[in-house]
Amino acid sequence: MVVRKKPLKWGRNCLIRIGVEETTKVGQKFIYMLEQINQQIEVLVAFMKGKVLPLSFCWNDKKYSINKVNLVHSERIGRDKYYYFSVSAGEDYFKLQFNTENNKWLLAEAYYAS
Amino acid sequence: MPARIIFHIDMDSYFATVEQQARPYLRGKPIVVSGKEGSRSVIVASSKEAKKLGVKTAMLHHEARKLCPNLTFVEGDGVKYGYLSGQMIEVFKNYTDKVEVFSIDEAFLDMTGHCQSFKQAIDKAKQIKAHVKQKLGEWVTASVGIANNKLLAKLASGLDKPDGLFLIDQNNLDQVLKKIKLTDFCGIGKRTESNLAQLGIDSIEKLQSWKLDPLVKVFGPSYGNKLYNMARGICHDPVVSYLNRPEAKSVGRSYTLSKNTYDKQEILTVLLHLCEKVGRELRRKKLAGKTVVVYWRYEDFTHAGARKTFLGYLNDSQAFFNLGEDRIKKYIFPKAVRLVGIHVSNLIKDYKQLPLWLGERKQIELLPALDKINDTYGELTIKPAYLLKLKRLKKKVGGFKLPD
Repeated sequence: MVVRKKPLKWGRNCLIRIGVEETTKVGQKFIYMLEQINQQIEVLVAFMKGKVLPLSFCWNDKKYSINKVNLVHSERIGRDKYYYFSVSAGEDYFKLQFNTENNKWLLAEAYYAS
Repeated sequence: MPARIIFHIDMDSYFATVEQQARPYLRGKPIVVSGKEGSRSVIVASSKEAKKLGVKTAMLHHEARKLCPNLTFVEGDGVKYGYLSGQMIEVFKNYTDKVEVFSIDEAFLDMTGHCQSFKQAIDKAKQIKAHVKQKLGEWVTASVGIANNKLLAKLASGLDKPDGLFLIDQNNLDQVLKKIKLTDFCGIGKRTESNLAQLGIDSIEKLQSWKLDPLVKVFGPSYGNKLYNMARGICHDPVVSYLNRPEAKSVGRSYTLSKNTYDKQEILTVLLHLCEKVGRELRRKKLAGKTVVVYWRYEDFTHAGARKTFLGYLNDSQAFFNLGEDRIKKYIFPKAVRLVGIHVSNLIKDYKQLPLWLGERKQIELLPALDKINDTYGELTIKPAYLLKLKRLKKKVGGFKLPD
């Protein structure tokens, strides 16, 4: 069942809204949207078996516990190497970016219930 | 024991399943990987769910939307697909050193010597499938074809999709050849199919009934022989390992403009950007080229261009651009242009240029310094002033390639 169609407000600190999708959960009505965030965040990570495993992060005064890392890939731009972690936190999806040159984490995009 | 055991491993709906792997909210939904919805790009890959509804590769956006109104468009990410392809090849290298990368999402593996029988080969294929899933993710699946040559292995991988495993051996070869269409073979396209149809050949059985001589007469010695062998499931092509990959014969780039245009300034700016990319790639691979082709395609898909073979070898972007600029400035476009491209061939490896004139020498000595800056800080950090007005060309979703 689709909830309703009306323009969605821009999320806090969102730079670009690149898409809208509407869905519902059983008994609850949620509007999900995919947004490009590009905002620096702090991430709690574990180093296991030679790999970095993001565990949780804070964004918009809310703590998200990562329950699954769906995909990891990397990219080199000049001498900087970036790792991208596509993760799930409950029903929400996030793409985190880690810059190995300055050790900073960025929340690249999010698909979450607004 | 079979003389050879060849695997062909083909990822199922590769780009689409990678996106579904990364973003679980797309799983089970019909999605396509393409440019932005409404843009001029075509569909590059469709998910298994979209394929069931008839959405195919190379369809236009509105055609796909007509077939599937709730279709989700996802912008392609070439870096991601290239990286994961590299991971996939690493998995294959655990099983044999003879891995031939056929495209970004498929490879041939020569497993001769690593398996003693087809039964063992099936077990090994199951192991590889599980290993790929473990490395790339649970949503990403591969189909494996096993046979005693590349032709049949490639055919077999397409017979049990998705997530399939199919063996073609002497027991089922005739049965398989009776079932398939001519175009199911890699190497018979629409044009050859129509040429064969003119000769009254519309099935493998009919192709088998032709002798070698008439086929050679019509299609020439090379392709005539190939067709004759194809009809009998014979192929002697070796698996060329990634270690023995032949050097590039040409380097080229093209770009479809956001809208058809007569604007020479816009066309030249895009061309300079493409020349920069081609020059960078040549210099990175320590190559230089003699023959340069600058071309443009009109709105009606006809094309024109300029070709020049220089006396010496070049890998300087500016020299390539000068040829294009010279021709385009003099030219009056009869129709609007939709695509611009450049292509450098006649390549030589490890070429060291010794310019006679001081001006040329300065330019050539400057190039390594410019490359070093762009290597350190990213592409086009330092660029010709001409490109300052141009925003970075929008990422295209076609023509993904593996990282070097």
